[in-house]
Amino acid sequence: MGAFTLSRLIWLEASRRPRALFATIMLALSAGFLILPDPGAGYATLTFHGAPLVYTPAVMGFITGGEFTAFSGALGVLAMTVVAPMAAWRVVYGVANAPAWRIALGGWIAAFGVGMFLLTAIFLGALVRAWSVLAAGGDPLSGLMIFASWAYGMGVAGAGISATIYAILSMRLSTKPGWFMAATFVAWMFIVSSSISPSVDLSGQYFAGPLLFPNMHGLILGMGIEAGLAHHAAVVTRTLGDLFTTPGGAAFFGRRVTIAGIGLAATLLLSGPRLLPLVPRVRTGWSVSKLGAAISAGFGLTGVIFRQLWSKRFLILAALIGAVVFEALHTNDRVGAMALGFAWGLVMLRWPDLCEAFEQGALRTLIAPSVLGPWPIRVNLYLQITLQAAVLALPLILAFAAAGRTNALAWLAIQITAAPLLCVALARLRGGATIFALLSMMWWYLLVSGNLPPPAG
Amino acid sequence: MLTIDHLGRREGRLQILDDVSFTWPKGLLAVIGGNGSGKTTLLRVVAGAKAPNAGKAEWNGVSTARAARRKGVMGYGPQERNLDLAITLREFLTLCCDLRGLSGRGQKVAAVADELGLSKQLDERLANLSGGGRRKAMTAQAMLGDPELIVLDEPTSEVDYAASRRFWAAFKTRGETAALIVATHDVELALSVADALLLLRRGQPLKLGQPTDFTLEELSAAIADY
Repeated sequence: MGAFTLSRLIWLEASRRPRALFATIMLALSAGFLILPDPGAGYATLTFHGAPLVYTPAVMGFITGGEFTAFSGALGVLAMTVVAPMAAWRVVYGVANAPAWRIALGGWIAAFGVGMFLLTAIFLGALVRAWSVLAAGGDPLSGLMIFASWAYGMGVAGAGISATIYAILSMRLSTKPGWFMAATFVAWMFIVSSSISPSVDLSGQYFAGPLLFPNMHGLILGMGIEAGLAHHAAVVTRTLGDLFTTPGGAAFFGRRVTIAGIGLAATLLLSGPRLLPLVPRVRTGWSVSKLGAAISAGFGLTGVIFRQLWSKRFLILAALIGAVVFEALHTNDRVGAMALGFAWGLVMLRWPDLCEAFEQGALRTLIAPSVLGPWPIRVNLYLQITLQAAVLALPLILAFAAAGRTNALAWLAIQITAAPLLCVALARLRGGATIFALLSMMWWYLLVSGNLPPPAG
Repeated sequence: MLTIDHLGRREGRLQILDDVSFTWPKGLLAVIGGNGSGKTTLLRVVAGAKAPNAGKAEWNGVSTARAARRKGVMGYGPQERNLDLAITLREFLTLCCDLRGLSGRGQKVAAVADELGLSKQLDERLANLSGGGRRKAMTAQAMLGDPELIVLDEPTSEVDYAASRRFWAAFKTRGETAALIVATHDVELALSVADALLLLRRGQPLKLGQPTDFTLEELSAAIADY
């Protein structure tokens, strides 16, 4: 009973934050746009082994559901942190004095609902982008059914996993956004992507790949620029019906529902001890933090901003760099893994601020009014983000330098200087957070898809 | 019966509570002391939110940490009031009822709202409430469902004078059937309403007695010398 009330109230809370909700919907819609470019467009299209792909409703559904599942861990948690102020909910959990499993269950149900909502927004984004594909077979309703069955049949597992990550972590780390984001990243990157995904066919490629794509030699989907694909013939996929009438489809869907169910069971098992009311820690004596504060105080405004930006973020960077190194050691494309980690870092560096900014309406909260005027703060902010980005890119910088790839180093330097500039510039705009998040996500997808590799030489 | 026996609590190198002992069976006990005298820490231990480093805190022979996990035993209103949520006060109180497994939530919410004079604010969003309003919300959730032990940390700070009087009257009434431990700076109200006062200074109990055992001057001097 309590769990359902909690999940209902979290949804209600989200619905009463229209700006945050709108920004989340926009993000998901744009994701739909990005992963499913208009096949008739002249500038970009989805590719298979570097060649343009001819869409069918089943392909659309496979891509939509598969992409959502692949990024659901991060997307779901991001959406929940944006639409529901976690610190305030943590206060409620503490005073409610309820068994932890009940709160975890409520959080899981709410996050699962949000995950399915995100999937629907991505679904609609893809539908708007390539609706003509559904009608190409002569029966739009049938096409829609095929699209929906594959998209939701694939996506249900991702929604379950993102709900599990959120429900387990948010209870303990909701008042520590830095740790929360780092733990989310580690859970998503190491546990889900590296361990669970291959063993349970989370991306669906082992089941759907051979059915959809002829001559499949490892499923390599990307978002290709049309200009670079002029000499490739389009890949025609096999025409399939909806997921449930496809041989083995019902069993495949059943396995994915089971994954979500296992996630729910894991949430209940790992919900841990009852949450006590929040009690601030009293720190006496000397600590690294106090020493840092004493030193930074000597540098006035610069010192204060430096400490604000580096206190918890450094730990996130450590987790990110660890993840990048881990990925790089387990892949043939080491530079690609480092570049992806760097792209992730650029998004995540400002993640907690973005979450807060969504609630406030803009990144303007970062530029607090100051008697010195906003510029000293903006300049400081710019320098600090640049510095953090440079630290994050260190493995990539070293790899490029060792290989003598000066063009790639220049490519990296442009990113390191441009991203903070964009962040600070958008901070002046109402809705700047949304624009920054959209651009970050676009950037991220471009790198994830392998569409923007470091230049040769 | 609340039993505090040679209770000690240390935070790092700071001894916040030192050798605190008293018992409290039922009624309204006001905990008085200056800032930093240990009131909040004492209440956190009593509410089971913190464990003592020395001695024990028990409710009916069970540690308060364990008693807090039992249904309907304890209500705790901490100082924390970060309730920046768009849900209404009614929804918040209903949720607290549900999460605690209390039945008849509609009646319980209405009863506590009526008791504390919050009926008109029930449909206000928490985020729109003033600081005092959120403090009232925290107090209301602690008093839901007639718990045996109610622990309230400065429930009337930021609350207007009329509401403070109403709250203290409600505490007094509750004290007829439950044990209330209330930390407060409202010394005059505590003197006129509470069944007993516990005066803390530098983490140690200076005096425990009935209000008639204290004078306002004595309390003022002790608080000033925290």
